[in-house]
Amino acid sequence: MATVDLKGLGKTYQGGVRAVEGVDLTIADGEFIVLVGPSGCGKSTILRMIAGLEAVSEGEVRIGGTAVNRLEPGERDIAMVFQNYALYPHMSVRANMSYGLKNQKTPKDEIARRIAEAARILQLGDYLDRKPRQLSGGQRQRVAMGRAIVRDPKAFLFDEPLSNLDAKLRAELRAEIKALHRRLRSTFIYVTHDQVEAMSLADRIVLMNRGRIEQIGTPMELYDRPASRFVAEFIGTPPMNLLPAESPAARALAQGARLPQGAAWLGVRPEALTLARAGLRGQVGLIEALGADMLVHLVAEGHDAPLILRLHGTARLAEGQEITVAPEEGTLRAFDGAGQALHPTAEPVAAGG
Amino acid sequence: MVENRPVSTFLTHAVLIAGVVFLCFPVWMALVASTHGPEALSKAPIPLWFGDQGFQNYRDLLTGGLPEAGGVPVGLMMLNSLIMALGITIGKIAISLIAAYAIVYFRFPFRMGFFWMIFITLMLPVEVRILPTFDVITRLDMLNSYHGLIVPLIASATATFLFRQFFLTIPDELVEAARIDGAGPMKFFRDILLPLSRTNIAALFIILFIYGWNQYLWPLIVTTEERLYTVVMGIQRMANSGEQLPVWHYIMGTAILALIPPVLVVLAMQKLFVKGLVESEK
Repeated sequence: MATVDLKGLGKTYQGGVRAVEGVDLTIADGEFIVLVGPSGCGKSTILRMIAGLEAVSEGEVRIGGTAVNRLEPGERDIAMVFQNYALYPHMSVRANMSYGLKNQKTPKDEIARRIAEAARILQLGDYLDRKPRQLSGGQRQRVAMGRAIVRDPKAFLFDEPLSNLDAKLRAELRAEIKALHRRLRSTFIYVTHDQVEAMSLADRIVLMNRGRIEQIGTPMELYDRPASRFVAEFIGTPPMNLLPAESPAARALAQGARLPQGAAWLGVRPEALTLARAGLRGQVGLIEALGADMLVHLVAEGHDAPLILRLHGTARLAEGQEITVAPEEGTLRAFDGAGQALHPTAEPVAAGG
Repeated sequence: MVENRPVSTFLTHAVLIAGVVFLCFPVWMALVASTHGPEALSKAPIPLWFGDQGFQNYRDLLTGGLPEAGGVPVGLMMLNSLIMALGITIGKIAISLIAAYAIVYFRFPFRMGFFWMIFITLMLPVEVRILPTFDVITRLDMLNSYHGLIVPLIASATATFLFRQFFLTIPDELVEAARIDGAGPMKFFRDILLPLSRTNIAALFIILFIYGWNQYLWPLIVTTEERLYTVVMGIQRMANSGEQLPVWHYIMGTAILALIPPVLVVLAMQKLFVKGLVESEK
């Protein structure tokens, strides 16, 4: 258990491709941090630099206060769980878990004790003498987590550990990882491209874009007060609706409210739009019924792309129907021409006032 | 695809049986011939069933020095062949494993250059480089010795290439997991790469052992002393015994004896080989 500090971290690959630049991040002891972003944003590179699998081009990685830039991965006292499990195929589950400890010259009875403990936490007791190929994907990933737990490392690193699993298992293991973090209270650093995983697991999310940190914050901060258009569009499915601030549709949504100086884009979350008497008029297009709620594509006057509304599943609407929608109070967000949020920290733009 | 009609079943079996007979008949003939006296094979009709000299013939071969084969018992020749074949096989596998490990997992200057150099030697089998190799061996005073028989045949581009291709299929994550588990290069090689290569090693062992066992030209050139003769050379010598009639019963007996070790190697390794194939992941 330890803090992890990244100071001005950068990575330049041979040929001058800058994968990561100027990343400053302080991860508290016992914190669950999720690095999320589209593919190629540098999130995995950061994780690999923390692990020591990738050389650091500039800046510094500190684990528990000590600079580890020059240490081998095995000397950093971290454990990592990989996307494709990376279990040693010729070793039994027990041997897989004990290999790292053996290399550290841990006494035999201590190894046995830790494996028993990890097997109990992860319910792997019946599988200890099997080979990885005799296990299902979910079990393999549990073994990989077990291999990390027995090390009792300063930090756990996860590199998209659930991407190879099917949706149901993913949800199960996600809950298990969260429970594991509760139990161990260790520092978890988790990389994913799936914003649902990020939202549900993280204490704090680090949203990456093109090698830079776009925003750091709790899941709800990122959702409620995105620092930029990029964050607004990345977090949330379906993403935030964005309209040019000067368009008639945007004006209809704002209902005469004064937009902040320099606002170029107006954003509103799909669930913040409700049926109203006054507001934006449009025609119902596609309806996606999801059971608990429904996604309604609204073709509005003066706006090309349809707006998406998330309404309660019991709403009675038919395609082609004319409806009027308005945002709930305090849910409109404004962004300037460069995509930066206006009033990123202050009160959100108030609608109707 | 598979039709289940009596006629086609009969036909396929007929063809297969014909093939088996065609392949096995020479071996059968050799086996039969090795149990007859010298005269039986020089006149028509050639016997197709065992004679009564088998025990006698094989005892002569294994213990007695046959003048036709330079006065060396076949038992000694087989031992020579075995030492040479095992030396070549183990040497080739060991060296190519290490070479492939270096080429795949370590970054050093001219890495690809070295790889291509090794690769190009594929085009230079023993027969092509026999003069310079002989010259080197002579200067190193390695004529008429086991290492003279073995060392020049040890370098193997084929095996290096094969191991390289295999190592390239091992996922990077496995290497990284091992690094995080604190395994250094030697540990990684011993604990992970070697066990994973077991199947490939078994397959190569079969091929290389037979390659080594069947070597003819190189032992012929590098050995002049009878005590180092290999069994393949012995057969050849017996068959070309100048003015005298070839001693067919001994030649065939030697051939049968020479068949045994490769067959044993194939049988022994095949188990591991098949097991490895079944076990290998995805």
